[in-house]
Amino acid sequence: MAQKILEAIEQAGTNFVDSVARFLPRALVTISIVVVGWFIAMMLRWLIRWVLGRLGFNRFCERFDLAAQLKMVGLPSAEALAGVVVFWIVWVGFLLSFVNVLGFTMLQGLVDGFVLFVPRFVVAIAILVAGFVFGNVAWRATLLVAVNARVPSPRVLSGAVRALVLILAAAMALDQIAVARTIVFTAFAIAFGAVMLGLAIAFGVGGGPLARRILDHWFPERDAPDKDEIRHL
Amino acid sequence: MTQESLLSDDLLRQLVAVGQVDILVGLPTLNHASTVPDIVRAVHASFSTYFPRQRTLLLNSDGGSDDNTPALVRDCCLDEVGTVTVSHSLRTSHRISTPYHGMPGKANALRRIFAVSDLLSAGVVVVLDPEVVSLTPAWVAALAWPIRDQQCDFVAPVYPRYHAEGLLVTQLLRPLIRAGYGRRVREPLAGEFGCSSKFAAYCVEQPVWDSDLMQNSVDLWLTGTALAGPFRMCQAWLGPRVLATGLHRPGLAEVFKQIVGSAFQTLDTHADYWLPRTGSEDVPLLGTTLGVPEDTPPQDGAPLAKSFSRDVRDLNEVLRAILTPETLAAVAASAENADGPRYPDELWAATVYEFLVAYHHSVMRRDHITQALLPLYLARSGTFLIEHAASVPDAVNEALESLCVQFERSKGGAVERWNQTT
Repeated sequence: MAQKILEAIEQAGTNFVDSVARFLPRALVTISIVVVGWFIAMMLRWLIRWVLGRLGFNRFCERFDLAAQLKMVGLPSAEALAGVVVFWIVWVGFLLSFVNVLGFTMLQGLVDGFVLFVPRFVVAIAILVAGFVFGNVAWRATLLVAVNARVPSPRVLSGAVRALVLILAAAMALDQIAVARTIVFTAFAIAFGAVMLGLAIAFGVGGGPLARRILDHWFPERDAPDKDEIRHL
Repeated sequence: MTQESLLSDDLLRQLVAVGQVDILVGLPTLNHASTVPDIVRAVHASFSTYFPRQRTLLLNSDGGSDDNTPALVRDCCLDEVGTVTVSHSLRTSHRISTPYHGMPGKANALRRIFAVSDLLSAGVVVVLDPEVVSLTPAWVAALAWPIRDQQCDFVAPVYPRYHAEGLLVTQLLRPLIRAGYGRRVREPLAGEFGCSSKFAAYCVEQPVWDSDLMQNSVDLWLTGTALAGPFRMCQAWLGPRVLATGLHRPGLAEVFKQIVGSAFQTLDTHADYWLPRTGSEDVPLLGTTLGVPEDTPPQDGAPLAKSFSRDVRDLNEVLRAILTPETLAAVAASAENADGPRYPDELWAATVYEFLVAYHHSVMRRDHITQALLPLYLARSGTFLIEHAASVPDAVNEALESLCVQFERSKGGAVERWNQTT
């Protein structure tokens, strides 16, 4: 009996040692991957910032008001932000790769999901940035044209244009990463339709004379004499 | 692109038939049927009256008119002038109308006129604006003589003006170009000009013809090139410049964007020349005025200045990216002035220079920068008109001279900022 117990304990010990012997190299490899991954992510972060710095990315963002908007919401500069995003994508990628190394088959789905998610996330970020840039350019263009054309409430008009572009970009980005796709789509369709209908009704009911003035301004009679008495040239 | 490929085979055949010429008058057109017959008659009257012994050519470079302009130029009957011709040309006066391909615009037309002048070794080139209805034969002579007799390379026009006329020139272009290039050119936006074959050949060789700069406004680039290059420049008195009515022209916002954008871009192009220069020197002014402008009613500046404060508030976010905080604060204070809006010379000069520097550094889309200057320009023009509503012409001229001097004084700060982040 005692012999059997000893044999069982010995077997358990042998199994434990075997398990440790099998696991330890994987653990060391995992630690190595994590450490090396961290270094690589840090290097890529530095590299991205350096390359964007050389390309004048911050100046580009300043040109489209992106820098000011980032600052307003407490985010770092555009170059630093791009570096941070790249760091976390690479770092999380390395962290998840240890699942393969350790043989955690249960977590394999998570890894696959992440691999599929990263490109969509990058595209969503690109859509957001493009929406932001386009929204600001459209805002400024509308504001300047409206001020120079003496259109009433130019800030409201240009703000509405920017808001529409940003909402559209945000909806597209959320759709890209498939976050609550149905809700986003439905909410966007309802909100957009409501705003457009509201604007159309408001303009039709209250803005008839304004519409006439705008159309007269946009499509002047070809041979109409210049009403501006001041000769600028 | 070589000259041969710029000029069509048909045009080359016609030019071979013409041979060498002494004086070439270029007329760029695009749907100017209502005005070209009178201009053609005036040019030929000029040839026979002032240059009877010279070999002359009137070259119409047309951008694809659909109103029969080229045919009118070709077939215009000189006898319809209605006046007794007192002299006749001793040589044949040639006349060619040729279409050009590519983007319609003055730049493309001028490029071909210059190429033709180079090919025909024309000693004198005079370019006219087809929209001017006050043009007389004497204008052609006034622009051609300094080239032929005074060895000038570029003759800029000078028009007699009332103080309320040409505000974009007097309030912005003249002081800016004068302070920038250090030469006192009265009409930098030379609608009509004369130039030598040397200048024409130099221009046609420049690699700028397909750029936005040329599509916007080629006139300022020509003046800038004459000032910055190895050319002898002078000015010639012409008569009052009256444009035809009824022609479809772009509105002030579009014209302002194009002209001011062109001025800024021209200064950007010639930065190496003008940045180190200080003060200004005269450009010789030849001849006497060929008429006085029609009496015009007093111009009310109030409508131009009335939306000053609202515009500054509306554009605050945009202006913040262009102007320094001090200048923006001063502009806002001037707009909100209790005694009515004011825009002093010093502040206006600082504003224009800061816009120029912002344009150079491309702090935002460049056309947005020029668009943002328009409300400020209107305010400045309006306040100037209000201030000088009762002034005599000499006082107005003094004020305009004082503005130019202020631009010269303020140039140093602009140069510093220009170089700061380059």
